Amino acid sequence: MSMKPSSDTPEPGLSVAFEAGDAAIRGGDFAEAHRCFAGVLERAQAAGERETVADACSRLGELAARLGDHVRAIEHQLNALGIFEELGDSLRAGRTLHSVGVLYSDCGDLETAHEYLARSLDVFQATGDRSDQVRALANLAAIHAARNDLEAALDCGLRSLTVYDMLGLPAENAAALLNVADIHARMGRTEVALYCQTRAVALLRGVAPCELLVRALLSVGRSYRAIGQHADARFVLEQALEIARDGEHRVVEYQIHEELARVSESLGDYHVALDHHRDYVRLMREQAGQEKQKAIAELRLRFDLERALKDEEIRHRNNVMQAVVRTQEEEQRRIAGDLHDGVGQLLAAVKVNLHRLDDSAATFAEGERDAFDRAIEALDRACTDVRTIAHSLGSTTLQELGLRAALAELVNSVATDTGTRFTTLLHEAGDHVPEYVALVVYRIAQELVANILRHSMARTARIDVVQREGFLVLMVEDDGVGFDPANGGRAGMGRRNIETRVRTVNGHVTFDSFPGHGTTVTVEIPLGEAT
Amino acid sequence: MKAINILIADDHQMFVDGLTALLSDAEDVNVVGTAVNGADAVALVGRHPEADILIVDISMPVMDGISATRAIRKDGSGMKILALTQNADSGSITRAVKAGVDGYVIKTSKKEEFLEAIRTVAAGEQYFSEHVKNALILSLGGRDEKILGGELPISPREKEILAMIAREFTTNEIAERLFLSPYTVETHRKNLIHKLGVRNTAGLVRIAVQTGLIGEDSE
Repeated sequence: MSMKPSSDTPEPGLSVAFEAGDAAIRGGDFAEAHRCFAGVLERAQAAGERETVADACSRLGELAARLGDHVRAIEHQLNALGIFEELGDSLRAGRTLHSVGVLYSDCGDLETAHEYLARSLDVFQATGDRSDQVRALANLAAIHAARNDLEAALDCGLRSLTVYDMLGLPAENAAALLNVADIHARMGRTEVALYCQTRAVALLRGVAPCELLVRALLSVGRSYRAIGQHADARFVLEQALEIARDGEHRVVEYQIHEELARVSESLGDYHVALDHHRDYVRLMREQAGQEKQKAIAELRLRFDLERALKDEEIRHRNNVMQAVVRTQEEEQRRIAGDLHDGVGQLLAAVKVNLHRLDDSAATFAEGERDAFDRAIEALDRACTDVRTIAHSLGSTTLQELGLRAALAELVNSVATDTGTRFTTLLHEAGDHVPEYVALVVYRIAQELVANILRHSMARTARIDVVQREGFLVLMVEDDGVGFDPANGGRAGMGRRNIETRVRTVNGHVTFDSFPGHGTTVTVEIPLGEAT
Repeated sequence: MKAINILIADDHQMFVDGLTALLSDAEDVNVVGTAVNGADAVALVGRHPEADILIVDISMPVMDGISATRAIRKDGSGMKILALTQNADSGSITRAVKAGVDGYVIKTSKKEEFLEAIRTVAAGEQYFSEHVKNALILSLGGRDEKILGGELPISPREKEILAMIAREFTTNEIAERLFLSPYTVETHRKNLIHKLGVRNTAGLVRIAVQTGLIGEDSE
């Protein structure tokens, strides 16, 4: 693969596809987005556009993450990472490291998550990108906290605070303060926690009222209650409740009611406590119902996307397999043509020349006569063999006259010289069968007929083709020796061939047999969606 | 008797030589010209108004025998055309017949058949060997097996299953008795419903009774 400098602009078709993918994400059509980025990836790989390859991998990784497929998401991101490192793009390498870390943390592998996040932090510190640094720090803090390494969590939290102080982002700063407060609270240092929370509230008062402010007030209220200052707690919580109601922050609202119920109880206001408790229960139930709905919607979305991806994969695989089969067919037809026009024509020429001797053969001596007859006989057999082999490799009948004629010819060509009598019911094999399906059915029938002749010792065999309920059904039965399906059956190769071919048209095949009781092979192929 | 004048178009010189020699043994046949491909054959026909029959191979370079036949027919020439070829598949045979050949013989046939074909075609009739006639029938999709079991278009196995369905055997019982999987029995049942044009299993039972497949005396 040729390396191109990263400054090269990707070919215009690629950037269009990229934008289409981004638009699809914005429109919520993840399956379409996946198709776009997978297409970009393939073409960029072919064109050696390393940077575009990496971009496409990143997007595919993000999509997989949305799907909840962390393993694949990590795989894509690691591919992207390799390329960014190779291109020396440390900022994006760092961001990719960060994404991988978050993915590992999402699937519960905190150890590995920590490793990647720490690496990303190193990169960000080297590049000096502060907002990336604090994100990494905050995530590292969360991981330490989850692993109960509170000291380390606190360290990361405090470092993130220092950076925020420099950046001057009040909302983010407040969020970090609240996290630090949580850690302090878990370490039993409620006063310190309260201090942090109060600072967070002060910072948030400067910006528009938001859920984070409500949460900050709620945590202040909790801390006051923890240190027994119930009146202060109630004061703060009532403020929180007011803002929560105005902003319809239902999730927080029921938690405030819960807290207020406890505080009021401690203050001896049992009626108020009871009211808050009722509100708490009502809102919590409401919330739980909504969460459930949301979870179901989420699941459905995932399911749809997964199915779309699966369909896409199957379609792609089928296209590849069909291409392989078509190439094989062409090659076989070419060999058949060569046999026919080369060896076959030569044998015919030999024969027509030898026939000139027919009349003089009557005058040959007895031994000479025998030799001549034997030569003619062998020649005849050679002619027949060449014709049969060429024909089985590639008959023009299927292309010229369709499946029905081809199957009739197939059966007719074997019926005379074997112990098996074939009957057929083919009148439905003709109409509305796509060309490729016809090819698959013909090749399968050919394989099955050959199997019957080679192994079955059947007296009779039958080929039925029926079209019903949108399916083409091929049934090939014989009354021969059969096989034990538990042993995988005879002619394993042939069977695998058939299964492979059937898969390329989304069909289904069953081999039904019992020793001494014949074999029935049923192939069902959907006619609607098959190409 | 007037001799039959023959033109031969075939890209294999050895075959042309052999055939010419073979035919020269017959007193009523003269080879008056040869061509090595279809395009030559069309020109050859124009140059030999005295010829009666063009013997043409099918697979030839430049222009194949079928295209040559079409071209000659399009020119309105009354030339008789006999395909003499290695191609024995229904596809080639049908295409040749559609293009307008008067006869079709396989190259590896015996001398007698060559001569019979030439004489038949020269007399204004068509000549197709047994194999070719068979292939033509097959090109129409062959003759499906004669209808079995009274007037039912079904196989002996299907007839057997139909009778068992009519006797209220379950799919699993039928499968067990006939050493088949239930899946295969189900496929047969669905095929039967389709082939007999009924809507459901009750319809199958009705047909089994109507056609006498099962009677009062059945087990």
